[in-house]
Amino acid sequence: MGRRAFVGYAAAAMGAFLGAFLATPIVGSFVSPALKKATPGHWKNLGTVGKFQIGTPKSERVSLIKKDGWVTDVATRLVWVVRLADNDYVVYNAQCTHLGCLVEWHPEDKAFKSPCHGGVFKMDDGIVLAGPPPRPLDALEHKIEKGELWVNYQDFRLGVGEKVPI
Amino acid sequence: MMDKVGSWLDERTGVSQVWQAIFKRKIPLGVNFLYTFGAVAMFLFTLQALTGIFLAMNYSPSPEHAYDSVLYITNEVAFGSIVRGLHHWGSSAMVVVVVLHMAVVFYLGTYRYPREVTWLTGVVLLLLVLGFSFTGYLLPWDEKAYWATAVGTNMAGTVPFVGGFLLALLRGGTEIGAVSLARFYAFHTFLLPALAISLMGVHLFLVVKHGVSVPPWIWRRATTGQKKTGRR
Repeated sequence: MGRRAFVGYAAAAMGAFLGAFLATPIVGSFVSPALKKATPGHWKNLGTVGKFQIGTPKSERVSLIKKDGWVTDVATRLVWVVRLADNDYVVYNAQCTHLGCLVEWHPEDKAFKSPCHGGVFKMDDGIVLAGPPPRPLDALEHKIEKGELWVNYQDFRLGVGEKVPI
Repeated sequence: MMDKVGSWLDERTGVSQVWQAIFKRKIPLGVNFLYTFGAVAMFLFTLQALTGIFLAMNYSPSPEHAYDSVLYITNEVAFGSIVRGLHHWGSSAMVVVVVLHMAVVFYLGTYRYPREVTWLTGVVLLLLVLGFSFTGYLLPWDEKAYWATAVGTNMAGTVPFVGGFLLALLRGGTEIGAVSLARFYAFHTFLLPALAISLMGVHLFLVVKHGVSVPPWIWRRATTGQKKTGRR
């Protein structure tokens, strides 16, 4: 290798090193939000159990304090509470597992239906009866304390078969 | 394969001539580090542009959120403080380097025929760099930023006859507020980069067209017929 070629390669190598050195923080700052771990659920009080009637689902709003970048704000989400028996509840995240439209209760069919692409879910276990949703409605962890129903609100990735918290 | 793609492209674009003109051009004997400040300034401009783009992804130019979003960049975004630090120190280095670049061109007399237009575009580029510094200073929206901009814009207000108009134009009103911040952000990220990149294009075209100037010490030797010393 001649002197000219050597200097050329050396300059290119130094440039590549410097470029990689500077690209690391710049690209890292851009990519980091995509590598964030799932946020834990929020335990929310849905009120006294007396207002839920057996066999008639009832929707409830939950307000979450969400940290969104540099903004901390209240986000409202919807859940469906299904009282199956005296002491047997299911609480669904109201987002359709297809692409996130909020499902509605259709008493005539005894099913939850998404208004967007025709997803239909069974009441008592959330199983898909029709349409494109890839998995049943997302049931949420819940508990009863001193006669009040609590739910651990959590969002999950939509459009995929597995229930992955986000 | 690469050769094939290369020659296909070259036949249709002539890109190898551009490469030749920029990287394979002849430079005179005797140039030294004094001739590198222009390239350093260009490197710093690239660095400022890249870090600026990625800072903008986590910044909000509104009075409610500007300061919080800067704190968010500094404390929560991965590598955020490094990216912000590079942009912060890079801006100071930029001013230092372009002034050095100008001083070298001035003292070596290379602004003279036929390079006057290169010099003139350089003068405007210097003003643009100062414009970047001035508008970028407001964006963190802390006390120092606010009052520095208050003072700076008040200077514009002292211009005879049109001062009041200039002041209101810069601030987008009589006071520094939401409109001023949005304006400064737009100047800093849209207007000034567009102007700077266009002028840098002209500046660089002229640099390539005229070639690097022969250093005065080589010129002197050539015209006085001195023998080549061992040093160069």
